[in-house]
Amino acid sequence: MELHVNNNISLNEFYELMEKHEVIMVYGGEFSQDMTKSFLAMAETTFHNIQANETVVKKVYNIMMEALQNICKHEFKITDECQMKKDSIFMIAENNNEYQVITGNVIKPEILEIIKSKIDTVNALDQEGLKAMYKEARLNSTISSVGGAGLGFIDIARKSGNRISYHFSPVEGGLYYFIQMVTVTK
Amino acid sequence: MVHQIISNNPILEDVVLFHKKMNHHNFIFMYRGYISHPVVKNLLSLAERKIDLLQEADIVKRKIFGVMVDCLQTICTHDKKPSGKKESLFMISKSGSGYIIYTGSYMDAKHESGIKEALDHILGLSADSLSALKKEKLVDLKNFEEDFDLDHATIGLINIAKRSGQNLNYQIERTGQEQSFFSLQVSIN
Repeated sequence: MELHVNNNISLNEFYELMEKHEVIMVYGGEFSQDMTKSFLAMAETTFHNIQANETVVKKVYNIMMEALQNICKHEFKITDECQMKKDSIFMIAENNNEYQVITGNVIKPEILEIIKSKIDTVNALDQEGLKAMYKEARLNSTISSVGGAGLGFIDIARKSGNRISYHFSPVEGGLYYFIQMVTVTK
Repeated sequence: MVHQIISNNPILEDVVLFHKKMNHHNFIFMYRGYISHPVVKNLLSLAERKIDLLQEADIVKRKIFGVMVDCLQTICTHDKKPSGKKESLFMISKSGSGYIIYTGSYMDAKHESGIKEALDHILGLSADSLSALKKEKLVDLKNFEEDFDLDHATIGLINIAKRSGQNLNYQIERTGQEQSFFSLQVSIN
């Protein structure tokens, strides 16, 4: 199916990518803390529409909230003249026996190592290890320069029960585009 | 640090590609998913914030917002088929000195000709004739059909045509025995 509406832009190229990954909801644009409510409401309608299991949906909601908060914390604030480049992405995909919560945002290179190290650490732990790490992090928590206490990735890993996928891709200005994918088994 | 790709899941390269396409086409807002009235409310709230940030005259912002409202309401009007694909697409891109709003949604194939006739008729009318047609359709709204209201959709399309100076293109493509995909592109300057 070709969905060209004019000679310049083909909706098809977006549709093909979305169909390939069975994306059920995608948003690209500005992100801020107070937008979370709107995302949750839109996701609720989406899950209601596909008659998803409530327990699984609850898990997905919790992960969504953490993931969206992470975007707000780590997103690189770029000046207005290059506003186009800072748009973040939020996706929910449904593949076979799992839902995937995918986020993408521009980050500074110095944050890359911090994020990667946190994800690698939680990915190496089992549920017991994550629980212990969560308790310890809560007891010793201090608010970091990016506004978090470091609990986000631990919480995401605990709720998901699966490894967190990441992808850091270089973009202009020495920055990186950070993509995170969290899966929730149905 | 060496500026290189670092990944533990190469499949995510497709998300990078998606982001690149968004930037390449200057998309400033994009949503794909099920669009119902509660979703429209949230989408408008999200898009309104984005539009507020644009360095444009209030009149342009009002035009964009007005067209958005009518586009989303039009999707809701013809997106009532209980079976088949339901994901709709709503995107805004910056194009030169103006903006383009794209919508794409599945519709019941039996309404193909009705929408096509309405749009072709609208595109052939002057601004005054559009106003007259809108009044006519508002009166016709009394004859409400249960699952699809062509008059309601037509009023939305008339509003879009008026606001955009009839700067709109459409395409209806059959995607299955009972479903068609309706794409609309509206330019705002």
